[in-house]
Amino acid sequence: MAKLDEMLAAALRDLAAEAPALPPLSPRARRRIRARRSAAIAASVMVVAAMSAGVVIGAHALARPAHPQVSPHHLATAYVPTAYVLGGSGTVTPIRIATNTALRPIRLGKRRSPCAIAITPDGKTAYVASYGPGPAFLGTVTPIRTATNTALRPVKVGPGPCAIAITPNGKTAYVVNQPADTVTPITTATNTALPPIRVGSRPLAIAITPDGKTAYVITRGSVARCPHTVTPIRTATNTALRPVHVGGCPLAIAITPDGKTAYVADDSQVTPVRTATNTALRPIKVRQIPAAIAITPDGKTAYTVNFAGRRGVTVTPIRTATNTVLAPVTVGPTFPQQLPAIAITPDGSTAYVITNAPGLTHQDAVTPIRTATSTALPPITVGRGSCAIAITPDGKTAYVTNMTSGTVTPIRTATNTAQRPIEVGRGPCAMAITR
Amino acid sequence: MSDSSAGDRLGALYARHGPDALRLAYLLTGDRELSEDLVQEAFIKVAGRLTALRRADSFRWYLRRTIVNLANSYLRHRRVERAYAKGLIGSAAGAGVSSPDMATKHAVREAIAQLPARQRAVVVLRYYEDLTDQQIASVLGWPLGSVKSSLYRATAILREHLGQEE
Repeated sequence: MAKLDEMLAAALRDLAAEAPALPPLSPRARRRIRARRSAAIAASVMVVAAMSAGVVIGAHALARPAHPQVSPHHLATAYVPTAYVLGGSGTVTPIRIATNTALRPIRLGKRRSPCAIAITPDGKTAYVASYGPGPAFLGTVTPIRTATNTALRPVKVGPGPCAIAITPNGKTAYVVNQPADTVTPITTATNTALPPIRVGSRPLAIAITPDGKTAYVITRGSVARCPHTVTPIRTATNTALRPVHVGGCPLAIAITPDGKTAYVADDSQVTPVRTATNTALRPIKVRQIPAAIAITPDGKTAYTVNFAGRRGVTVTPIRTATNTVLAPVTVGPTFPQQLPAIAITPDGSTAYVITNAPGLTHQDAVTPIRTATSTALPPITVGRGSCAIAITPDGKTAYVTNMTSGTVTPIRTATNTAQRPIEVGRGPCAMAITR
Repeated sequence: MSDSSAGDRLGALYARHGPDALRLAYLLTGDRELSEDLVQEAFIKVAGRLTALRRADSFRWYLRRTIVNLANSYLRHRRVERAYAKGLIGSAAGAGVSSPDMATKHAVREAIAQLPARQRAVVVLRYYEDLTDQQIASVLGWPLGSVKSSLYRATAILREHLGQEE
């Protein structure tokens, strides 16, 4: 059977061919267009006249709304453990881990949509990828000095950046530009962009091996160019190697801590890729549709979060030594509003998965899973539209961003209890924590 | 600028962008008459608001966005979901389900028609208009995460509906 995306593209093409013929533009429509244009010109003339007369128009529209729950101590001291949360209104909000307080948000610029963040291993700089409004979607990466929480001059990258990763030595950040089918390397020492590297069609995520030698970019393909691939990039020369084909449309990638295998979760299976030879091994059928993947710190088990239809959300453990699937664990009744996410504590004892809260419409929860026994613990209700989860390096707290609620919920991992949500402004999404 | 030359330019703009807009409107609504009305309405809004659109891709961009917004608004307020499903499935049936290939086509149409309007819009923008996630987010005015989530959910539902295993 043809791949699902090819079938959908073909069906929509056929259907579009059945659309009616374009009717002529009616005289009434022409009149309405002319009237609107005249009104627009008249309005612009009035604005110019008013401004030249010194009238301030719409000053209230320029006033920035007060940010809720901002700590008066807005300047972080050097390398205090901090979580950086990307917001929907072009901001990055630092959260001080020790006190669970939001600091003053860092503004990226008007009408910018932040979408991905990565922090250098030394914790000194956070790199935030964002894009401007359409149709150009001009992409930039803003370095943020974490000692002072100040934004440095943005680095121009390709259009519509959607993912970012930094090499373990902290020297290069790689930014994925989905509309341009490229990856832009940034030298962190000088914050300058190097020439973009062409990868497969519609790249969407990136992961770098622990030795820093290879970056793997998953590409989902476009309607014209369908192949689903993972493209390896040799970081020493910043050159793309031959793409490795995987089965379905890839959604997520994770690399084992020993760097030997990259696991690519697509919409029907998980494909292990041997990094030494860049060859795809036999796909692992998880029998459900994986949306996210994470690997334990000891590298022994990979966990996929899956959509299981009427059975809700499941987590499937995969034994990496044999690439075999263990019994799936049911973690939630229905799919959360956003894509489910998973994070594993540094000691590997617990995996935290975002799910829908049982019995509560539009309310999300986090379900802890004891990895030793593959058992789900009672879900912890968080906020609405939960979309990202990150765990502090000491493993004591998991933070969950709630896009619809505009909050971040800290979870104490020792007791698996939610703390008071932290207000961070509109639409928080991605997040990263300093080491 | 004379009125007639402005009128000719308007006609040329309509002839250039109208057919694509009409196909998009038809895919979103599944209703021939409604899609014709939507295109005229969207064209009035965009051509009337933007007096100096020099770049053709900008005009196309705003026209596409307006079509999607209008279609969503109609589907939300007038509850024409059933009409959509009926129209699409009907047109597939009309073509005759005479071979395994046609049966598959019919099943895919039926699956698309049964998606909720929001998910169908994401699927059309992704698999027909071939937009990136950011472009879809901008057209729909949604956060990027919501686009990814809706696309994933729609794909999962379609795969389940079609009983597809690779």
